[in-house]
Amino acid sequence: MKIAFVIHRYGVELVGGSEFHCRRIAEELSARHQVEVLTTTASDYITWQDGYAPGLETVNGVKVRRFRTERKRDLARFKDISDLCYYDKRHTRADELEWVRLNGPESPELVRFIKDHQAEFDVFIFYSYRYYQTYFGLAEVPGKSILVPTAEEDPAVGLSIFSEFFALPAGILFLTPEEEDLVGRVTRMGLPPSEVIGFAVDVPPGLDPEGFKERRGLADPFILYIGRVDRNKGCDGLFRYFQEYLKWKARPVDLVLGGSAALPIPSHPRIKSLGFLSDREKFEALQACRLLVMPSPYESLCIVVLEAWKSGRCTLVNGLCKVLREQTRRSGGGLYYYSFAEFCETLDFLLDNPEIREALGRTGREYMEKNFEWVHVVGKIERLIARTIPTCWLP
Amino acid sequence: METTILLDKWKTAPDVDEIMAHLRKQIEERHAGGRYGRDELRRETALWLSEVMGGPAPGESALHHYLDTIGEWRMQLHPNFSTHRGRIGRLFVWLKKRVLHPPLRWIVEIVEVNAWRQDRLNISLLNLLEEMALEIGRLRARLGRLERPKIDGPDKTSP
Repeated sequence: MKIAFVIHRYGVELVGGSEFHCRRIAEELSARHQVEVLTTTASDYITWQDGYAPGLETVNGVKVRRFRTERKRDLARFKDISDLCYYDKRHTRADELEWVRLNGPESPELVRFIKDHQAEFDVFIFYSYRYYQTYFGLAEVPGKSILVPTAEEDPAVGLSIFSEFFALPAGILFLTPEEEDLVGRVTRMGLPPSEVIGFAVDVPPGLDPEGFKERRGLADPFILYIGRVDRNKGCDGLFRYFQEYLKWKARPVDLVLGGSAALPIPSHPRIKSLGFLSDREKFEALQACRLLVMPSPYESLCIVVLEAWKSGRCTLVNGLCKVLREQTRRSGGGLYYYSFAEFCETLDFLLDNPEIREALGRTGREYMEKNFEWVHVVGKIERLIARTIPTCWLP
Repeated sequence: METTILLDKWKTAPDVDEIMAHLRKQIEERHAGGRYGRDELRRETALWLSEVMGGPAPGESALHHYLDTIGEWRMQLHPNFSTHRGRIGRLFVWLKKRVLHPPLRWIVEIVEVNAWRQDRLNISLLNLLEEMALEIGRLRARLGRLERPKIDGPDKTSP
C-alpha cells in the first residue's frame, strides 16, 4: 500500500505534538508500506518561517517531499480574523475560509500536487484539521483520505466550515475518546468510520537518571514539566501556583522545566529551566523526577504524559483539560487539580506518599503496555484503512 | 473507611477517583473548619480570579468542579436516534431526523454563542461567589469571637 502523510511541518528537530505523532506513525508504517510525507518548507510553528529546502529528502528512512509556502503568517491579521470568527456571530463563511488561509501554512503547490498525483497513492493521511494543507488538500481526495484531526476544545473547532469538513474524509483517526466526542458534537452530518489510536512510546535503553541529575546540577526532590514553556500550555498558571505553594508550605521541592521558553520564566531559586531536552535526556529527566506536572488546558493527546507513564512516573495534570483528566482516570497513572487548593493538596499527597506515587506510576505503565504498543496503534490504522478505502490492499 | 486503611490499600491498588474524593474531602474540611489562614484564603481566591481574568479560557468550566455533571448540560448537536418498533419505528426515526432535527439544530446554533458567553460569566460568578462565601465564613468566625463574652456574661476581670 502506498501511503501519503500530509502535514504542516515535518522534521526530527520539531517538538510539536502532532508533528511528532505523525513522524513516528510514518516511520512505523514505513516498515510495512511505501510511505511518503508531503509537507511544507516551514519550520517555525508561529510564523511558518522556512527552515527547510523544497524538494525531496529522506528523514529516518521516510521519503519527505517539501513544498514552498507562499507567505509567512501575518500574526496581526490572523488575530483579527480569529477574533471575528470566534466571537462575532455576524461573520461569514468567507471569513472562516480566510481564517484557514491566514492560519496557513499556505502552500497551493502542495494542494496542487495532491490533486495531480492522487492516483499514485492508495491513501492520504491528513494531520490537524485547522491547517491550510489539510482543509484544502483533503477536499481534493476525500474518498481516499484519513483525517487525524488533533482537535482540542478551543474556539476553532466550533467554526461552521469544520462541521461539514469532519464528514468529508473516508475515515478519522482520533487520539482519544474525548476528541472523538468533541468532533462528534460539532459535526453537522454523521461522522465517518473512526478508530481511537492514541500513541505508543519507546523508552530508550541504558538511561542514566543519576548521571543526568549530576550533569544538570539538579537536587532531589523535583517535579518536572516538559514541553514548550508557553501561556497556551498553562505555564503562567503553573508558575503562580508553584510559587504560592512554596510560600505557603515552605517545602524544599524544585520545579524543573524542560523545553524552549516562549514566556518569561520567573527568577526563583526553586524554578530551574533546562531548555530543550534531547529524547534521551527527556526520559532521564522523567526517571529522575518525583512526578510530571502538566498544566495545559488544551490538549488532544499529551504525548509527554504517556511518556511519563511508560517510564513508570505518575502525573499531576490540569483537570480543566478534559482529555488530560479522563486519560488520567482511565490509566490510573496520576492525579489532577482544578484549583490552587487542589494543586497544593494533590502535590503534597504525592510527595508525602512515595509508595502510592510509585503505585500510580506503575499503574500508568501497565495501562500503556496493555493498550498503547505499536502493534495496537499500527493495527488500528491498517484496520480503518481496509474498512474505509476499498481499493487498499493489506499485506 | 479510615484514612490509614485507604492509604495502605492505595499502596498496592491506587484508585484515582477514590484518592481525589479523599483529597477533596480534606480540602472541604479545611475550609469548613476555618483552618485556612487569612493569607491562604486571599491567596487562593486571588489565584482563582487571576485564572478567570487572564489567559485562555480553559477547555472546561469550573462548574464541572462543583457540579460534576456538566456533560449532561451540554447541548447534544448530534443525537443518536434509534427505535425498537420495527418498520413504524423507522418512520418515526426518519421524521425525527429529517423533519424535527434540522430546525431544532438551527435554534440550538442560534443560542450557542450566548451559551458560551453564559459559561464564561458562570465561571467568573462562581469565583466571586466563592470569595464571598469565604469572606462570610471569616466574618462569622469573627462575629462569633466578639459575641462570646456577651453570651457567657461579662468578663469577671472587667470593671
